[in-house]
Amino acid sequence: MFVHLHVHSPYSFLDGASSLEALLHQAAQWEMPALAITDHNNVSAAVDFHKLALDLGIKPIQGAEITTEDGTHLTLLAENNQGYQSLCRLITAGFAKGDRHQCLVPWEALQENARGLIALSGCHHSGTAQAILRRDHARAKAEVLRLVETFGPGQVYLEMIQSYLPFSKRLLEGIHKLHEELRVPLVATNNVHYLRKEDFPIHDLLACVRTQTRVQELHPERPFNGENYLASPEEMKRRFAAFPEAVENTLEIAQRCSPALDLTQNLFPRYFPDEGPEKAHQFLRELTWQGARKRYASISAPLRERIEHELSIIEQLDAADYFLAVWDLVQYAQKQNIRYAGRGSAADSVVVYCLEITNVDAFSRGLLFERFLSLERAQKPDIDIDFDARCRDQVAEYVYKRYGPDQVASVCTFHTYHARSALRDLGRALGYTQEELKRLTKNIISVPADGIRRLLHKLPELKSHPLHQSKYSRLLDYCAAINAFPRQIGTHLGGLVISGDPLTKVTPLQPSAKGVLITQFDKNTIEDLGLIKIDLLSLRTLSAVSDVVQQLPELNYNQIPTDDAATFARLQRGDTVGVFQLESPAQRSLQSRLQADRFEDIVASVALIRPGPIKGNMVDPFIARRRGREEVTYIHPKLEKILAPTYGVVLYQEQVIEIATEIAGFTPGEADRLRKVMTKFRSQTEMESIGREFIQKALTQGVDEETAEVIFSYIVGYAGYGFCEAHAAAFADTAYRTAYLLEHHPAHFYAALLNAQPMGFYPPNTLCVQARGRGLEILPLHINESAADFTAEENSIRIGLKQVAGMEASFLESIFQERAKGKFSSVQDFVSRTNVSKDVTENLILGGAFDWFSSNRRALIWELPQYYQNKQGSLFSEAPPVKSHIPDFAPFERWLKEYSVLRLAAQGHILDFFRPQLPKTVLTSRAVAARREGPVQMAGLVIRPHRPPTRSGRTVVFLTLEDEYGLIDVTVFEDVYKKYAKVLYSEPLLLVSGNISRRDESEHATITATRIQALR
Amino acid sequence: MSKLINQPVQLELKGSFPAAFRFGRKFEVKYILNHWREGGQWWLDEPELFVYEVSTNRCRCELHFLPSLEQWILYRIAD
Repeated sequence: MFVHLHVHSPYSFLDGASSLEALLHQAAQWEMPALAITDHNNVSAAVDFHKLALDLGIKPIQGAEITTEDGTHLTLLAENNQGYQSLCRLITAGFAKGDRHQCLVPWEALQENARGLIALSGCHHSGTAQAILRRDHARAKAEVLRLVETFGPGQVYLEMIQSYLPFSKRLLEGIHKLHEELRVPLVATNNVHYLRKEDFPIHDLLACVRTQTRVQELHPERPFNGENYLASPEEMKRRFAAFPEAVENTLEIAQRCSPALDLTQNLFPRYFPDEGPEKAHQFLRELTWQGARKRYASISAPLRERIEHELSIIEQLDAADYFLAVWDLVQYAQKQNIRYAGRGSAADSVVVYCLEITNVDAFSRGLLFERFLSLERAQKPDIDIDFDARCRDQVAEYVYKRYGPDQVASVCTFHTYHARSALRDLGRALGYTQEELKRLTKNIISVPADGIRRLLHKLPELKSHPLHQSKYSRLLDYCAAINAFPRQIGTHLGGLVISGDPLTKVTPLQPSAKGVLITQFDKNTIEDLGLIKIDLLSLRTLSAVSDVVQQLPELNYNQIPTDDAATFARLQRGDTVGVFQLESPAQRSLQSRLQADRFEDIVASVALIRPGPIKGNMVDPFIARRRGREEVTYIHPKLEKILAPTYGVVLYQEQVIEIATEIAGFTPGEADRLRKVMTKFRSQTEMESIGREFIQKALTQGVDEETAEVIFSYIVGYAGYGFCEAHAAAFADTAYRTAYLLEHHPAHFYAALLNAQPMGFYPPNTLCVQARGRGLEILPLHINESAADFTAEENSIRIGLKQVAGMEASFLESIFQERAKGKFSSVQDFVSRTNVSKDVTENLILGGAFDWFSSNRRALIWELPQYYQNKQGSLFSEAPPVKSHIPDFAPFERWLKEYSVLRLAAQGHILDFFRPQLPKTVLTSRAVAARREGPVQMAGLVIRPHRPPTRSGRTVVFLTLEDEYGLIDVTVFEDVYKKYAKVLYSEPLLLVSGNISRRDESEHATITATRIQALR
Repeated sequence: MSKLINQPVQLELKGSFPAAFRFGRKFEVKYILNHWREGGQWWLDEPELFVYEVSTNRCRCELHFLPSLEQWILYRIAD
């Protein structure tokens, strides 16, 4: 038998061409007792490797191929957990010594962290191999002795790799000579980078991506041949027939190593480090009751019971420290006036509400705590909090300071290959030109890299896509082969882990582009190591809210009336562009159909426009029942209590849990397990098996079989995409408040939304069109009047200087410094007094910032080089005025240029230029909105065409047309879509013919398209 | 100095290693000086290649073996 001890997974980032699963399944097939994974300077595969290997009966040996400070490679294997910890510390030290792209482990660190590690001398990039290849035997000997001195006798093996390279023979001879002289044992490896010999092209292509070369170009790091595959034990024995001990030693090492990961520990810090857990429980209890007295007018017996129930579960799960840590950081946010809102299933907890982490009253809403935490599931709590996007890093900084930099890190994320990235990278490596790559990736949407062929046959707009040509067939195969491989490591948007012990006990830390340290495990695996993630998310909506609140001292955001008639009237009109969560075309339509007049309607709205309810046909029955057009019935009396708030429709995850509890007698924890399995269900068989369990249990509860089956079918219809009520309620709170701001403070709210871009569903220009529709004036950019940001006045919004393409902070500083001394009197004056670059000054002119001095923008641009020349020539002399007599840009060109530098136009709309040529039959959005029925034609700018899942499974495209007066949503059914798909996805301006559609007699008119043409 | 030949030859093997071949006259392999494998330009469908640098009774030669075609080529002869 033989054990592979030097194997790269895809986590070697572009140097591993076969998945962990593929490698392990092959090893299992050969009944290999163990396998090591030795990725380059990381252990990112460790958790998945550990779990899958043990499942397959293989002993996982954790390792890494590290790069030392002199740039040489060394293969390290962890004998045990101590060795794994050494490895984590070493890799961390390597990134501290190098940079975020380069891990260079200092030898001093190796000497300090050698415990529990076995060192293999390494591949041909090792210090030993390099010396042998330089024919420097003395140096090679010294390298081996250094390893023995560092790791100890018996901990070092001389690695023999027969990769049939031109220098392999010399290398193997050199290694053998060292073995004979120093009596350091040999070990055979194959420096595995892929599963099978035929995977070599994939490895080579990935190497081309890594080295930024094309296949036709040479690079020393490209593999020379296809010999680094997972060779069978028999083949390895044949390759090392002359060195049988090298093969035998692989087994010896495997026997010495034990699975090095401990997945049972809890590393979350104690809130009171020197005290037992009881102290934290007691403190949490005190804070909760203190908060309860603040939140509730009186503490009723059921409320008391609920809080005690939650506290008891938190205590039993030993999770009080986590709640206190989160409470502590929201306390900080409150003190710093940082706006935040807890979200997710945490809002199912009354304790969390009392701690002021969320704003959802879980008790009054009757939310189910077990959706968040349960003894049966014994899962770690997970609280997500949205912060004002501009302050999120400040809160994270507080956490770093509070717990110490070696005990806090950001969670990493892996950027993995999807269709477009695979096509781009591999296409480039195969030598395709940029232009060709652009053609090849055009209209390829975000699908897995192994789904491109399916997509090409599915989407009508791809019918004549170049990828159909047989010459690209191999490219598609290669793309499929690297599907979901990690390309690079990055930083998770919000996840932070806090540990009671140094994090390097379980994960190496490396710097990110942002400068913060990140773990080498992502959100899916980090918790297995005993760490708990706190999600501190950035929400730009909260930044916009903060802006409005800051500018309107009279507004008490927290005391906004929850029953404001004008706000609900706005919702009922579906006039909600800019409202958090309620602005998409589907939501605007829903608002108008639902005629929301209470907060619960908004909570339901947030949950309704999701793939699950849409595919499960819950939207129409919900609206019909809510509006009293359909009778609310319950198939079983027990369902009434659960489903009454949603008119008999299963809408929330919590309801699934309650149904399983009430109907089938599941414990809440068991029921939540059922929900989890169902929301992630992969196969019909799995679903049928759950169904049998549900029905069987329901029968024992006295429910008849037919009823149980129907009830289960409700749940099945819902499975996959259900929404948590607590989360919906948390979002609905912000949704309602932003709708209130839109209704009562439109100028300030639109300005704040424009300042918080990019965010929301619509581009800045659409927000400006909407603002104008509300009677607000969009004031143009003005070099003497504009602030950095958009600014609101009573009935107007002034475009800010930040909106100009290329504007930098230093330019703004210079402009404001000079403006404080005196207004700019001309472009020349501006150029001479500020440090703004010529390109940005040109953009300022095109954006209209100098229209005040001269409305001839073309002439100003023409004169600009002269001003900069004068400035360079003499800083002090006044340049003579330049006389230009050139005409201004034509109106359309002038508008386009303004739009291109500002991403919006202060005045006018692109349709203004087309309208005179359009026949009278082409209506404006206002005219379309006023029509009740019949055929219409409308022209406009296309906004976000998208294909959400539908109940029938057929493709329906939804898009919005924007003209100078507003928006109209368009629905394109499959037959029309197939006919006009190419125009639909390639033209910015469309002329759409179709019929007016108004569902449920709502005010929201949409066009059902029958014909689509490009407007040019 | 070496001469590029690049012509197929019939090889006598000893196990899987080259032992002798005829190219006009008979060349008997004395030693295998080096041996490596090349991936080839796979993107042009070029097959994998095994290279043997051998010392024969006459001179040093470079032999190529194309496993996909089971074909031996006398690639180069050195003086």
